[in-house]
Amino acid sequence: MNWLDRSRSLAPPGFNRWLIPPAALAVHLCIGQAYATSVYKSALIGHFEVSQTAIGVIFSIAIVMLGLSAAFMGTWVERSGPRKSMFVAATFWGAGFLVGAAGIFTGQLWLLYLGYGFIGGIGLGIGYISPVSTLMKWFPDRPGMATGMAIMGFGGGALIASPMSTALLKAFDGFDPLTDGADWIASGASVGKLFLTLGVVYFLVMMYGVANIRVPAPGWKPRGWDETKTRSSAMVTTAHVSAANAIKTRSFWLLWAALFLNVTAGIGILEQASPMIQDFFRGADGNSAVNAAVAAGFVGMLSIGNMAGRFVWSSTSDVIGRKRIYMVYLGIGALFYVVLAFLGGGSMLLFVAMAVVIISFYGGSFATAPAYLKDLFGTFQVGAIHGRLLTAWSAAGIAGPLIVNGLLDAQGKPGTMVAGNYLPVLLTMVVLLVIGFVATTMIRPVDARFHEPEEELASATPKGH
Amino acid sequence: MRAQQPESGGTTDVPVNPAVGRLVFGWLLVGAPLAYGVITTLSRVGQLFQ
Repeated sequence: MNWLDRSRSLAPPGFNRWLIPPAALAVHLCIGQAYATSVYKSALIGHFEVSQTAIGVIFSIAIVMLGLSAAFMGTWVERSGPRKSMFVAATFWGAGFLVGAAGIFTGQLWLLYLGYGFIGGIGLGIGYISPVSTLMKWFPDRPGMATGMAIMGFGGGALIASPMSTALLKAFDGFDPLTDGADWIASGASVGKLFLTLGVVYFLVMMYGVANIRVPAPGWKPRGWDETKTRSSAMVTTAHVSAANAIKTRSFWLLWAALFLNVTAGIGILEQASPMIQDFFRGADGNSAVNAAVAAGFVGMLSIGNMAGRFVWSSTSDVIGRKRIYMVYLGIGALFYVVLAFLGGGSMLLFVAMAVVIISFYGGSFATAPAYLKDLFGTFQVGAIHGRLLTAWSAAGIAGPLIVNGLLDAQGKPGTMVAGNYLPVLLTMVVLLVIGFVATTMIRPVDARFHEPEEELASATPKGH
Repeated sequence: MRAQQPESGGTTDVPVNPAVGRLVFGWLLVGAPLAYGVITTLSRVGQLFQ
């Protein structure tokens, strides 16, 4: 289909670059649904009559496929341009829901693994990286803010999907607040209908992004932007590094380690958010001052912190630099974890404030990463390099829960623990963050031997950036 | 539509077409659901400090 080609998405002269962020957000808000799977988890457990783990595997497959597809398809995404890759992402994400719905209606769990997990996961990975490098090319003066806007959408997607899915499930089930109690669980059939609805709606919204994404013309730059000012820092390169060479550099792996450790530490809170706040405020009588509804409010607060951090901290990195902001994420993050561990149980306000800031750093590290890669490796194949970096996320998605659950299992049973039982987990997170902080301080500009020769760049650069 | 600030478009300076209609539609499409999600979530957060 020619209209999907990079050459057909070249922006005309005078194109307004502020049309690009909504196109990017249309994709990220849809794929951000991946963070809202808990809404129908109990319904699927009841429908298939399987364990929590069997249903949890669906999300794990999706996140592993996100990392793998971003890593292996990154070079293709860079070569094909944002329009074609966003179209492929929309197709996979939408088809994943439809195949998943078929699995629910026929009672075949493997179809749900294949649909939402495998096919949808590919859509997640391609969709996540598709608009990022294009945004940085449209906003060379504020790359952190630009990527922060899009990646904020991934955090915000769950905020939309969670209440919207609950409302749809209630509508499909004919929920009656007078007869259906607080322990109402949706039927499998209504989850199937939800999947059909989400598959179609998400595909259409993502197609808005496909239709409206544009790449800037060669040589385009914002009016009044002085390139030399942006590149005055030694940490911002004027050269370009290929994806194949980037992964041979020490700086790539140091950044990979910093992201992996920060995400692992963030998952420590996200995984346990609801039981954690209840355990921190458990009295001597064994009852918690925090009930399940209040704990749900805390989880919502973390979601907002996660989303806001992506935009605020990534935008801040345009002013103070990527290396400094990563030192804040990891250094201040470690300090806040110590405060949380030793003083969090004494004050609800302090506990919530510390947790929200830590999670905002978690989100910020995701959003700042593409701009950091651009500074270190240039824009030549930054999307492909970003895809390879996202394997840190997949690895953290496995390591974080393993560490947290392993340490907490040794402390006692859920519902009986107190603040002191969380010390080993929280102090382990502090150690991880300190190691990440040291890794960040060691990141240096990439050696010139990894830079692409000018003639290679001229022949490899596609029409349009 | 009235052209606003000029920006560099390749080698020549071309006035930017503000495309107000498309701009408003695009930002509403993504902004309205996001606002719905944030407000719904904040209403639950309110229970934290009651």
